[in-house]
Formats: sequence, C-alpha cells, structure tokens
Amino acid sequence: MPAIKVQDLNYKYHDGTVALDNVSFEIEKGESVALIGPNGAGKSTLLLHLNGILHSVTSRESIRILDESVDPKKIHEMPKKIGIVFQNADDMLFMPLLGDDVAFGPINLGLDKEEVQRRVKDALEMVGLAGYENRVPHHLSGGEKRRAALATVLSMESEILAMDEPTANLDPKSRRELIGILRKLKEKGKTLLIITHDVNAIPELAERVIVLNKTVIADGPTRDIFSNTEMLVEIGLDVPVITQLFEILQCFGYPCDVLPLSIGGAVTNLTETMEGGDGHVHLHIHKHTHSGISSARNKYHDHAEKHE
Amino acid sequence: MISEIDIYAGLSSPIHRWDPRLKVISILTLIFSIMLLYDLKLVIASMLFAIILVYISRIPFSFIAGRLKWVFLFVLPFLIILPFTVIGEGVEIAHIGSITLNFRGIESVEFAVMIVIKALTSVMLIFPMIGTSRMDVTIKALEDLHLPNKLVQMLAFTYRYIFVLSDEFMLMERSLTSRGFKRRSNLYTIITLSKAIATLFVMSFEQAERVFYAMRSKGYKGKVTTMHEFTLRPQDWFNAVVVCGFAIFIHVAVLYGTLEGI
Repeated sequence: MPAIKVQDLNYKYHDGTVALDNVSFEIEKGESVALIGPNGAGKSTLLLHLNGILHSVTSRESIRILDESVDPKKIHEMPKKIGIVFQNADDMLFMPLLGDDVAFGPINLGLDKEEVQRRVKDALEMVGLAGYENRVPHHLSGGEKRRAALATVLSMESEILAMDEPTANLDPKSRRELIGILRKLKEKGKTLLIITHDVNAIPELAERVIVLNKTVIADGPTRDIFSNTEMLVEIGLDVPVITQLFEILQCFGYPCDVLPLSIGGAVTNLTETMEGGDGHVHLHIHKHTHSGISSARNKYHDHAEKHE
Repeated sequence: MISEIDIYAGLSSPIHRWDPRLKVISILTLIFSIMLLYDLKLVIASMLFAIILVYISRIPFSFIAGRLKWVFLFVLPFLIILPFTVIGEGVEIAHIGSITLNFRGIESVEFAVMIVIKALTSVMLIFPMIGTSRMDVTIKALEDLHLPNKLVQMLAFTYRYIFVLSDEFMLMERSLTSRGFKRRSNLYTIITLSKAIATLFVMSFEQAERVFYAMRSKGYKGKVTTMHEFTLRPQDWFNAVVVCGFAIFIHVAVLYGTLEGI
C-alpha cells in the first residue's frame, strides 16, 4: 500500500493558469523523496492538495493518502495521516506561546492532556528546543522558528511528513541542524516528502527525486536524476556542487564513472581511486582538458544566464 | 527580548501574583462600577483607589501617565463642551453667528470633570489588570473564564501578529528611507505612507490565508484550545473581595448618602 498515491492530478488557478497537469506518482511507506522543480512549477500547490486544503472536483479522486481518498470535508482528520510543514515558519507559529503551538495539533486530534504534554515534550526535544514551551514564537531566531514549526507538526505524529523548502534562507549552522533532524526522521523510517531547491542537501535526505514542472518531468533514484544534468539544466535546476567539481576533475583525467553527489560520496570515491592508484591521484592536462572544462562550466553558466 | 505590552509583567507584586482570572473579573467589576457612578466625590475616591492599586502593582506612574495623556486628549472635548451644553437653561455669555454659548453653572463643570476622571480612572485600571500578567497568560485566563472562543482567538492572533506586522512596516519604512524617502508634512508623505499601509493590509490578508491553511493542516475545526493550569489561593480571594468590595461600596455609599456630609 503506497503512503501517497497521486494519479492524473490537474489543477488550475482561478485565472485559468494551469498549476498541475496530469501529475502522477506514488510514494511507498518509509520512503524519503525530494520534490524539485523551478519556481512556479506547482510544488507548493501539490503539497496543499495532499491534505485537501486545495482541491477541485476532479482532484478529489486523484489523491489517495494511506489508501484513502482525501475528503475536503474531513481535512481536520488528515493530520493523523499527513503533517505539512509550510515554508514560512511565521505561518505555522500562530499561538502566543511555542508550547501552545506544539500542543495545537494534538489537542485538535482529541488527545488527553497527559498525551498532549508528552508529545509537546518529545517534539521539542526532537528538534533541539527542549524547555522552549513558554517562549514567545516572535522572539525566536530564524533557525529556531523553522525547527519550532517542524515540532508543531511532529507532535501530531503523522505517518507522513511533507515539507516545503525546510532549509531555505537558513544560515549554515541552522541548515545543518535541520538536515540532521530530517536525517534522524528518515532513519526512523518516517515517510518524507521534501520540497527543496537545496540540491546539496538532497543526497543526504532522499533516495529518490521527483522533478516537477507542472507535470512530472522525471522520477527516479537520486543518483539517476542528478546524472541527467542536461534535463535539470534545461528546466532551470542545479546539480550538487560536488558533482560539478568531479565533472571538472574528469576533464583533468580523474577516473570517475559515477559522479559523487555529496562530501561523503566524494571521500569514498577519492579513497577508492587512491587505493587503486598506489595511494595517488593522477591529474593531467591533455589536449581536450580546456575544451572539456569550458563545456562543463558553460553548461552551468549558460543555465544561470538563461534563467536570469 | 520582552514585548512592550509585557514590559512590566515580570515585576513582583501582590497584583502580579494575583490569579489572572480573579484579577480580570475583579478589576472589570470595579471599572463598570465606576462607569455607572454619578457622584464626583466617590469618583475621586475611586481614582485614589485606582492609584493605590497602580502603586501596589509597581508599574511606574510615568509609564501610565505617558499613555493616559492620549486618553486625556480624547476626553478633553467633554471638559470644554459639557459646561455649555448639558444641564439647565444657563446664562448666555457669547453669541457667535447663529450659535449661542450658555454657561450651565458649576454643576455642569463638575459633571464634565467627573466624566473625565471616570475615563482616566478606567483606563488607569487597565494597567494593573493587563500589564501585571504576560498577555498570553491573560488570554488563557479569558479562555478559562469562557469568554467567547472567537474573541479569545482574535485576541491571541492580534497579540501574535501585531509584532510581525510592525516588523514588516519597519522594514518597509527602511526600504523607503534607503531610497531617499523622508517623512515631511506634505501630501507626498501621506500618499506614500498610505500606500505602504495599504500594501501591509494586502500582505496581512495573504498571511492570514496562509495561517488559516496551516491551522487547518493541524486539525483546526473553528475552536482554539490551549493547555493551562490556574490555581486559586486564599490571597487571590482576599484581593478579589477587597477590589469587588470597593466596587460595591461606592454604590452603597451613593444609596445611603454616607458621604453627604463630607
């Protein structure tokens, strides 16, 4: 039974603009999937369909969450199945105190007081904000707000967690902290759907990537999707910096059949290469080196210019 | 960082330690009691009582005075107009065009002074009522007192988002300043600030929509419930008896005329 099943989902805005066009995909329980796409690709719109907040006559039967269709009249029951973390934390933290915000979902689920208190404590601990119950959300830092917003959804203990750009606009430390929390959730087997532009974080967080541009352009393992750089560049997306670096290294004769996607992958790749080369890596300039580098750099440079 | 609204909520005083539910009920009772009072001497006595409460609460008088001046400006027209309009025929003292100015005697002046003092006293009492507990605690107290949930929600959202909106406006103002805008007493300034405020309204509407989505995503069905625990101590009841007792006393005093001879 898939956790999320979307079949031929279509949606138009009030002005007639097509937001989603025959979108179809399935996500199995325990899978961690990244949803990428350029701005205006319909990613956030898709997210709001998953718990029935946005819906149309045709969309109702197009989505099944944990094998049940989404009934717009029963949106209040959806948090048991799917929790959604919005992009702007200020939209998620609407109560006077953080403790109230984290308790908001469990109270609405009709849980008793002790259970609500346990969940508030657990959720805040999980995001590293233990003891923040009586803090005023407005006074939290950007990173704390983002983790607090996540806690307000974790407290509902939904089976599926869907997030809209969780690492956007965070400083490096806050970004790392948030990625760490998401990795823990992934390791615990939580079903994750993460909308993100942060391609460098995807290899750590998702084993599968769906590329959306109003319709599903590509869907497959993270490595396969990032191998198709032409497709990504064409629709205005990026590949991880490490992958770009190793593509350049290939031009210097570095033997690399499978480009690494992350620092961890790069370390493994370099270690294996050096072990196979008497403890050394041999780089050299040959007659195609410069043209190769230019070609690789232009690919990403052109992409940047094309989308400016 | 403490919000201005909660700036004196962290002090320690008997009023701060008073259960917020009994505090709100007792002081509101006193405010309504004063509003229904039509005896200058008792109104002055009520004002003295309010000053004592403020003194006990340790909220600085300068802080309260700074806010009362705006209330005074608002009620000042009563002080000017009432002596010429309310009671009796009066004595004509001036004639400007079709308007005749009649002075209605010392009772009219007393009446005007009484209205002004009542207004100032009522507003003064708001400070020990609201300013001695953090706003979130007061909101929870109101929820516990079964104030209509819609009103509690409105208060809670106002408290939560007023700072967000004021920050947005501050950013907008900085953006204007960085592009050479300077506040002046001219039409251009008024138009520019009006447009900025209008944009803020649009932004707040959009944010309200997003917040509503977030609330629905978390199972919101129209009612907001929070977790809170209030416990009543004998001291809380004693405070309530003193304040409510005074609220009742001033009306009993009117009924029996005990202060006639004073």
